[in-house]
Amino acid sequence: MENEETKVMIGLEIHAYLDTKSKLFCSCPTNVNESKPNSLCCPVCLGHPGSKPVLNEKAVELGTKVGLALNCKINQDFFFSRKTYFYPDMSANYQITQYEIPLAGKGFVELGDKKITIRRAHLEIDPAALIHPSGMGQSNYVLIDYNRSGLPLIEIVTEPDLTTPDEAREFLITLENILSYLLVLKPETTLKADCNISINGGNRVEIKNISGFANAKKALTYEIKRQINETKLGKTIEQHTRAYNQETNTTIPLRKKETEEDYGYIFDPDLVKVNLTDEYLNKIKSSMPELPKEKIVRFIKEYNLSEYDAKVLCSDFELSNLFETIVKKGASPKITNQILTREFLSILNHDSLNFNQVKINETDIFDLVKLIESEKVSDKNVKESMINYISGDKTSPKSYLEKNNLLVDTTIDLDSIVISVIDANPKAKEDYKNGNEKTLNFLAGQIMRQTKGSAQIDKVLEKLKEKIN
Amino acid sequence: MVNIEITKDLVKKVAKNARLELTEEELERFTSQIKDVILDSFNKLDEIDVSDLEASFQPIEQKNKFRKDEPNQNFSQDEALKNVIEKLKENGYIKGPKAM
Amino acid sequence: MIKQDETIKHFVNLAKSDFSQVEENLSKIIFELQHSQNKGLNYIESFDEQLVLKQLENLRNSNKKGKLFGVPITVKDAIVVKDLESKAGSRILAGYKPQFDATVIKKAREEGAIILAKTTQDEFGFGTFSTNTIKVPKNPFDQNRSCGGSSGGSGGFTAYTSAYHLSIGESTGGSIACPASYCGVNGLTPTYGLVSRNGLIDYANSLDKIGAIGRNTFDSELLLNVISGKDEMDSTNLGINYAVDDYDLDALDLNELNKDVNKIAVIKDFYEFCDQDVKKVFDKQIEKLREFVEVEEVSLPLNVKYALSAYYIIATSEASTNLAKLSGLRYGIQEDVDGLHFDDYFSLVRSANFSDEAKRRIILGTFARMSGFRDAYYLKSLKVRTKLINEFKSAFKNYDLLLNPTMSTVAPRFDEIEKLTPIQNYAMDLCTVPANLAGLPHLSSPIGFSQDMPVGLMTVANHLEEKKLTAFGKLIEMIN
Ligand SMILES: [Mg+2]
Ligand SMILES: [Zn+2]
Repeated sequence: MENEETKVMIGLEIHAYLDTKSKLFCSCPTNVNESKPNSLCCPVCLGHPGSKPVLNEKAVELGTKVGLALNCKINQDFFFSRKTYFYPDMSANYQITQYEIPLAGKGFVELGDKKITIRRAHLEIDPAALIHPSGMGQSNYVLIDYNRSGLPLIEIVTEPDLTTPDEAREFLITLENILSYLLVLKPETTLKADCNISINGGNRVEIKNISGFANAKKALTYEIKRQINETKLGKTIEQHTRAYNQETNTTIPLRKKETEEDYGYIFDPDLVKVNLTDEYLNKIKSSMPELPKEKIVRFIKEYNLSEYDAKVLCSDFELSNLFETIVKKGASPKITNQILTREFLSILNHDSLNFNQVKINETDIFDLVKLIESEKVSDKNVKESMINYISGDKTSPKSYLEKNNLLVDTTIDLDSIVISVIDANPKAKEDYKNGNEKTLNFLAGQIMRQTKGSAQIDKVLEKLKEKIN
Repeated sequence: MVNIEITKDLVKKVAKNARLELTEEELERFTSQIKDVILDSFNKLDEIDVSDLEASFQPIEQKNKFRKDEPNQNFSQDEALKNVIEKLKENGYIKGPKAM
Repeated sequence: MIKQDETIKHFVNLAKSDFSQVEENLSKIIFELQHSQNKGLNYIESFDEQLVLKQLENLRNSNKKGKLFGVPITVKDAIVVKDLESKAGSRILAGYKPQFDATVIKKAREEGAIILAKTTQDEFGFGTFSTNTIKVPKNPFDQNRSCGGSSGGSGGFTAYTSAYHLSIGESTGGSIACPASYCGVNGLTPTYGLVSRNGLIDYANSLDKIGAIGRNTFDSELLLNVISGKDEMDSTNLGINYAVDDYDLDALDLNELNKDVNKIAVIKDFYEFCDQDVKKVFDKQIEKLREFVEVEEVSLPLNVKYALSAYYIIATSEASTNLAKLSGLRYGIQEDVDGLHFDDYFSLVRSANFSDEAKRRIILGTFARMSGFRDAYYLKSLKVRTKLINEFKSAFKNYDLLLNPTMSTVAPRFDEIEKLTPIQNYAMDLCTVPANLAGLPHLSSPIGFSQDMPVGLMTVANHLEEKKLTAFGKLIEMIN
């Protein structure tokens, strides 16, 4: 790995899809995932001569919310520019984006005790999707689908404040969480990041267009190693752009600095300036939803959770909502938190699943919490029913427990079972009295077997001690 | 004041940036013409002081032209491909040149 | 002197009650159109008789009788018409059949107009003489001379046809006024943003203005009335409609008409730039006008010195980005892409299909906005534009209208044009560029002849004061 004194600087440019019904500058629908290629386009997003862009007001609203959530200064007067570069995915060979004055200026995101500075956040259009039919580099041509062309993106640019690939990953997760609280992200899309990286004050290398947090970490880790090795060989790192190859887990050069485009930015003369009035801004400010930081504080206070637990719950918008819905139905916050942060998350971790990959029904969890509250189920069986719920046949924990007779049978007289087991094992009883604690476990095992595991183990131990003495 | 020498190399570079490949004859001709236009016309703006003025993006400045976020009629796949030549159509996609 | 029966209004009134008028006028104009094509006059870029006849049938069966009922309209090639090849005079757009109507076309159709044909122009509007294209229109007064540009075909055909007809032109730096002047017709360029640009194949978006070309101001203003107004598809549209008042030519009170035009001024700097013979015709007209209005002189020293420079920087900067989209994909000229890297494919198509003038302007514009030069050229030119607008605005504090000869010469011969260097060529626009750079409405009116060629007078009004312009244009027409 990198040696101790290697100083790494990582800056990210993150692109996120905003959740609008129509595109940024035309009224084409945005449901690109379920549509045939080139079936969601119009003269504007196909770059047909004569067509003109008109700004989607919703995108401005969502972008403003992002800026506020990232503690940015909102520029109330801004405009759009044309960034000219030729590429087969750009229908006009210029991208409508923001250059001199972005929608949102300097802000920050807290990562533990560290503040990562946000340089800016601005609105821009997404290019079309390209397919390389015989793989990247091998294909003789590309296939273009313009459905994506013109979708609204917000680009969030950080200062190079991040120092490790892990920190970059953590930042991306934190950022995505904030954006999900805002309800501005288009469902079923992922953040895409351009990663800028330099070591020991050297030149900056940009790795373009990485999807997924794990890939970002992998690409950065590879790139740091590569740069260290190059430097060791006496080579200087030149400023250039690279691509990440997921299959080989390497980065490959895209183009040299000399051939980088000169974007020749001009104001887009088809569009006019935007002025956000104080009134507009205040209205958005007052409509800002609760953000993770605020929710953590509230959870600690309202539900008497530890800071750690509150943070775990609030690190995922859906999870924190699930928790609160169940509690609001009358379940114990303490037990609900245990089920969600301990049982549930450890199963997810074990199976390397994401929260959004599994279906969790609030009633199913509520019923389970209620069973635990009334002491009708053992810890072991709670775990078993949850594993089945998430990775097994997905029947609700309650029905699973019922079907498999795993609920504590309240008709069973635990006292008489305990007494009969003690009577049947006089030697064990004596050994325990003489100080051999282990024999208590042996007796408890006998009792558990007779109750088919439905008894609560601590309760059994307690009763054993009580009867022997 | 921009101190700029308009050379064939510069014109070639700018043309390349705009994806124009010039023949030697064109390069020769355009370089001298472009030199004239830049030196005799463009550079005139050096003389005028506009430091206290705002830029006019359009002759009449307007603000806040928005569209409601409502999806509207868009092309069907057939319509999107209507002006595309047969050779550049493939399974509903539009063929483009190599992009790597 | 314009007579009532020369006006489009007269024709429309007849046509509303007698459809054979529409048919007769249409046959006449189609005959003349084809005749002009056979003679190689090159006014028409594309014409599809089937599309025209279909419109005629629709009109015949329509109950709605609009303001342009049955009026054949030609359209500058740069304005898209659904299903009719539209290529802004450029080879690179050959075969492009737009899938929508420009807003002006939609509005004209709604009022019963028949979209007849696309007219020839300089490629993308890049020129003063309509010579920067394949089909070069020839002046109806002298076929060895230019129609002017860039709406050359519109000016030429309007002068050529004897049928009732209007033409939709477009001006970036003077492209309506210039051909109107050279061809002896009326050219009305509105305030920037009054007419929607939706559907206009852009030259320079912050300068482009769609306007009207007709036989007289009455006709031009009727067309402006129809095509102006609100359009949600163009962000720079002002949302204002130019209203027309009803009139009776036989009972027109010229003083009443011009009651808002009290004091006007000749722009000395532009006047002095003009040829002697043009000045003579212009002077004579001014003398006539003095009977109706006070005429003074004004100087616009900044505009005469800097407008062309600022204009060409802004225009080429914007144009070079507009033309980036024309790269051989999706429409127009397309080639086999197999095995070609995108840089090579785009260069191949663009280098082979743009004309010299387009290449020059793309290079100039790309240069002016390149990092390192952008501040000194592109950004500065936008500020200079502010300064030049301010100079006009102060002149309008004292005068209702400003006047100058539209063009410094009569229409030049093609052999003269060939000898012009680009910089001399650009200088030909001196009188028209300043008002265009400032987005000011202006009108070119024919005022007489010199060497048997028409001479035009250009009137400029403050933003959105089209009414003063048209009133004054009518005055000129009624007293001549
Ligand atoms: Mg970007
Ligand atoms: Zn669209």
